[in-house]
Amino acid sequence: MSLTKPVDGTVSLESDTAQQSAADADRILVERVQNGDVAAFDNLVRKYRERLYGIIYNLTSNREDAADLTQEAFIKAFSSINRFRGNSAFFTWLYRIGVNTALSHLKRNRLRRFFSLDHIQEEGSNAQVLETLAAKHKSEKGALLSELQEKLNEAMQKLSPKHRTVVVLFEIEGLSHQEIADIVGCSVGTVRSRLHYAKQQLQADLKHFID
Amino acid sequence: MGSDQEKEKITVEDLLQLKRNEKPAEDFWDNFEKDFHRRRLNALMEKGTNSAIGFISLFKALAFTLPALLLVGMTVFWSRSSEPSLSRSATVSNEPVVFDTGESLVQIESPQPAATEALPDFSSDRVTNQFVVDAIQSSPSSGASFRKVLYTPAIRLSPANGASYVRDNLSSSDYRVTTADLKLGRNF
Repeated sequence: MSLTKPVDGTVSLESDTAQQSAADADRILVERVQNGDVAAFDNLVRKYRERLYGIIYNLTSNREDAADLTQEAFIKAFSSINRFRGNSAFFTWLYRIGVNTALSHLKRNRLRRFFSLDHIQEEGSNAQVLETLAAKHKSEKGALLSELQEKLNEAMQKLSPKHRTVVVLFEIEGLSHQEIADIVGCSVGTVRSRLHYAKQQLQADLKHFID
Repeated sequence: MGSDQEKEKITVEDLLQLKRNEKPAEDFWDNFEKDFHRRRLNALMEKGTNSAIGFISLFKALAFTLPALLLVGMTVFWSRSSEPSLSRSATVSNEPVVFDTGESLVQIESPQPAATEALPDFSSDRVTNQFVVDAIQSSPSSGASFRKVLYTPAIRLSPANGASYVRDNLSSSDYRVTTADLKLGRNF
């Protein structure tokens, strides 16, 4: 899996090797599960739960739903593990299940949406962004963060599920265009065009913070 | 100066990356894992029940249709062999059916009534998926419902479905099914 993403969304040679060894480790675990070692699936759950939860959470903007749907996605993956033939990486297959589970949920509940957000941790590389924003807006960091989180969420929810999915997978999860195309089941060109359109929308909705 | 301005320029990508830091509380994953294990156990039990019921239905269907098909087949053979122009004879008894075609002998096994007698009676013990789910989801202190599940022959868990995993989980402190129960249980 890509842990870092180059600017153009392609996968570098270095991350290729890391991806390959991660894929090999996953394949071994998958084979163990397919041979009846149920507990081996726990390793896959521990490895991917945070990222899968992150994808579903950012698609639904509801932490309770995200927890439930993440488990549902893992159960679906577990129940159909014998159908996984290894033609794609395990994480691609798992994320596809997760994305489809979340999108079906959104479709079923499109008229009944409640948002509940996780806490943003003020740490790491985002500290600089927050400092800059706080200075520009002459506001206290905590208050700014709450406002920003709310506006970000609103802007994300205005996007169609298809566009939101691409933004979540590329900008938040850091996957490559090709990986997203595999997960979503469309061409790389479509991924790029959706991403371009979505970012234009977001830029318009968040211009208060960007300008 | 120019580079300072660049640094201070906030892009939509910068804002979106803030969402990477939206994370659940620390104890979230403990509860997540417990819930997941419970749901997986349900899924395994449901899977076992579904496949058992499917197998029983298939077995019953075959038990009724196979003898019927053989009977029809034999009747057709018999009526043909009875035609005077063919001058063939057939003998029907509990013994294998032997057809004399005039040139060679063809032997066909008669339907085995013993196979029908050997069918276990699953109907009274059949449980619904919901029953299993309810049983698993009931309070950990109510061990009785688990005994029902354990002793229900309609549930079969093959090793590939993780029978040992289910057994180990049911015997854990979460579900309090005793080793004696498990030894008596017919499903493992």
